Amino acid sequence: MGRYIIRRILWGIAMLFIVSAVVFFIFYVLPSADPAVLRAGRNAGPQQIAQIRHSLGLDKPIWQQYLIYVRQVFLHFDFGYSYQYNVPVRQLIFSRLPATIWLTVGAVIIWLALGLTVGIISAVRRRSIVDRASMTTSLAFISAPVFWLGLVSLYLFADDIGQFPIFPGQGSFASASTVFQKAGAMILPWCVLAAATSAVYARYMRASMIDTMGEDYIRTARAKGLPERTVIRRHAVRSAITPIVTLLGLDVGILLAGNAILTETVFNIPGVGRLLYNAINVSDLTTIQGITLFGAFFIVFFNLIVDIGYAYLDPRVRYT
Amino acid sequence: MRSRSRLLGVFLPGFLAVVSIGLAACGSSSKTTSGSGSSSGASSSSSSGSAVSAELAKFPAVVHAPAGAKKGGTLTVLANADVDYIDPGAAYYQPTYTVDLAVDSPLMGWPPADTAAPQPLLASGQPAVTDGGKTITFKIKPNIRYSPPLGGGPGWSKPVVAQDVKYAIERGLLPGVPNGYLTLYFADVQGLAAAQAAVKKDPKKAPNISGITTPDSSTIVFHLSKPSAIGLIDALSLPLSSPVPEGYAANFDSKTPSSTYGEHQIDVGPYYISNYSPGKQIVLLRNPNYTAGSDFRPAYLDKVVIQQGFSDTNSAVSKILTGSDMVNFDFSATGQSLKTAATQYPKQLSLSPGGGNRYIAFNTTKPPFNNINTRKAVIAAANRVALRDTRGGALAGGLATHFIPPGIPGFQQAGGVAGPSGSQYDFIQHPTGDLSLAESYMKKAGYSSGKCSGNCTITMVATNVPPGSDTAQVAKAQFAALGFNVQLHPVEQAVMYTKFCSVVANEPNVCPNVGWIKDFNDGQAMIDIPFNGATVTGSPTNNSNWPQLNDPTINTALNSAKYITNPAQRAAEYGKIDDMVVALAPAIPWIWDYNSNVASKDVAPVINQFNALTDLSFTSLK
Repeated sequence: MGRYIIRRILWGIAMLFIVSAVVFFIFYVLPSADPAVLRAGRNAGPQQIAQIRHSLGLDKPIWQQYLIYVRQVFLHFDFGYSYQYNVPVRQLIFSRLPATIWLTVGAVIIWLALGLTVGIISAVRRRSIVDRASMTTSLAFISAPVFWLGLVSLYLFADDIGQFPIFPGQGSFASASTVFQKAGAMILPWCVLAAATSAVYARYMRASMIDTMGEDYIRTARAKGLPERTVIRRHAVRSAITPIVTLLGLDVGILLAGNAILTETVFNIPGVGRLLYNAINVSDLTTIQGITLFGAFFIVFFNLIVDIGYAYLDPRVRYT
Repeated sequence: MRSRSRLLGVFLPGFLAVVSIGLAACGSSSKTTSGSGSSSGASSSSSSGSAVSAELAKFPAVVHAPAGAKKGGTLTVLANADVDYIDPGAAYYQPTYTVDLAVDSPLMGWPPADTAAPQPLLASGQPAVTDGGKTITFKIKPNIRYSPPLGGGPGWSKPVVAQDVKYAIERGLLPGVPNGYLTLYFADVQGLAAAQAAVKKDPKKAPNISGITTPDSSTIVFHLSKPSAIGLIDALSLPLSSPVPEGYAANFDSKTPSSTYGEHQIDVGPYYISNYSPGKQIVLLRNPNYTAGSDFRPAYLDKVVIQQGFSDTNSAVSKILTGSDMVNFDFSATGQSLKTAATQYPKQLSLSPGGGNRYIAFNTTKPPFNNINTRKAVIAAANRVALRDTRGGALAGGLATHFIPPGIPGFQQAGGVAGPSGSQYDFIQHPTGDLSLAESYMKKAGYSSGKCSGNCTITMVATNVPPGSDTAQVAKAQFAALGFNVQLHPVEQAVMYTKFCSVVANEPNVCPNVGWIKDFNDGQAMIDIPFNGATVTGSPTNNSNWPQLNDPTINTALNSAKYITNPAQRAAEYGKIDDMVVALAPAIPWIWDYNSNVASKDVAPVINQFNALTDLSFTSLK
């Protein structure tokens, strides 16, 4: 087990280096314009641009630039400096992370509760009306873009601009001060973000459950006279949920990496996703680059957690 | 609108694409509208005495705080995006000025109702202008103290001295304080060139500008090489001249490549910035070291929270109209939200002139628009009402008849709302167009049928997003009515400027989406750069004289007018030059934008006519 974990950690580190090389290539080598100008912000003059060029090491050979870049990222956790906002990118990202964590945690709870429940019921009552209705609904949610769902939900349910005002609307999270206010302001975003994902999870869970229910050990359990509820809960679900763990790890990593960009933008949640949206809008390359790397870190990290969890759940994995 | 700052055109395209769907601006106003129109809404008192349009009268901007305005409370200001720079030395964006007007004290300032000339703010009185307009002496108020610093720390306990103002201006030359207008408006200050050379050698230390002297701690003197006092005094109303003590700031300013003073700034206005989260929010609190009554700002509110990220401005407008304690920041009510505000919440909507114009520029250097009669023909045929409808109709702005917009000295002298009179201006006197007049001009231009014949293909490069793209389509149809075959090329707004309209060699026949907004209320700030031939030669790759007008008479008049020190004469001269420009028909002026501001029903907003935005120091809660 120990060797397996070390191997996964080393592979994760290697992956981060590969990502850093790709990011470096995209942001330093590919741009047709001077990277210093692209990073310089609005009114920067030639002298300031020259200083940025020097501080980024752009006046050095490419390999040296990469070493400087890697050293800054991995040794100092320094993602660069945003001349748009005049603050270090790391500080920007950390200031936005709490809102993204709020969004992610709530949405994950909703989509797991909803997706797994619907998936299990659909699998157990395969081809029933409940199964068909839930799968059709899930298909609809998967097909609906998050930004569209968000805007529709605001139009319908936001307390200030909605037709049926129920929940706090756009920008409410930014002005919320207590935990309860924040939770209230997050209800709509959680539901919107969870809608499509819970639909995906429901379909995955259903497929996995159907596979599992056909296994010999399930038949054996039934033959032993176990109640159907016990068969499903103790034997089928425990086995069928394993691939969901993989999916969950990646999804959480991706969301924390700023991929809730549409939800955060529509609902004006000051998280990493909206930071990325703003950075794209104003061509703040350092921030985009920082969030990309930061996101890669999260994804690799959660992947590692999933791999280790998987090995714990399924001993066969450790020896492969 | 397009900026006065040449730098902005180069470095701002991404920013502008987001922030200004319309046109660029230095000290630019808000996004989809930048205003103009009369400086007097029903309650405003414009010193320019401009006429009031029906829409401005219907939705007047309040420019005085109500009697017995309530003290206290928190105002929430909804913003789409962040300020351009939190450092007052670098700020060059009208919404940023809204913050600066509340927390900083430049030598001069703009009370909400004043549009003719700035009033003393940090200065204890009007400056003494001597030596034929070449020496300006300010006395500053005593016992002005700095706020606690943004981000915490020991701050600065000494009172403001004249040397702090000198340093504030000098640090604007540092590469880490990328000021966009210092070299433009302070060009005649003695020693500026030497200071620029010095900072190239040592970019970490603010250079001495020898033409700015401080004989004692309460006196600051500007020595000019030319009598351009009025322009400089106006420029001293911009945030750059707000005091910054060298002893406190030098360490932050020595950071390269960017000064960090903005994140540690100390303020002297009635408010100070207590929290700044870039892209998230700005919080202003009362400055505990500010002495009430020390200047014209009453400061009713206890706290102002500027929340950013409201990219869906329509729902933000709805939120403001239906909510409480809110106003808009860097966006205006436009389109449907403007109509909703006008019909359902008329008392919460105000229209203000924003000091800008929009026009369709002809390239006057190449056929067919190198012929003045061809240009006059197109202007005569233009349906400017239809063009204005592309931005929202009469609520969006006044119908332009010349270039200096209402509220700017020179507007009335140029003909006011009606525009220049006389038969030589007949081509601009038909708001919905006059095809027969247009055809007569086409005949004078050599087209015997009254319509273009032969090689009539012209190129037009326009923005590819509404409402600018709609304007281009309408313009295209109007050109076609005179027989022109218009090749319309829609591109991104930034590309339109940086690759085509602002690049002299690449400029198409027509640029339909250009315009200009003032830095401050002066004719020079409105028409000098856009129509001075020197602009074309001075910035061939970032030109803001889109018609490429290079008329020796107009150039001479512009170069002389900026040295006129008598305000009335100055306004008259710029009005006259405006008419001279119109007579040469370099462009179709079609709108003087209004800024449409909205406020919640429990807010008593005061709109500062300087930038047509909410003045946080005068606004109160009901």
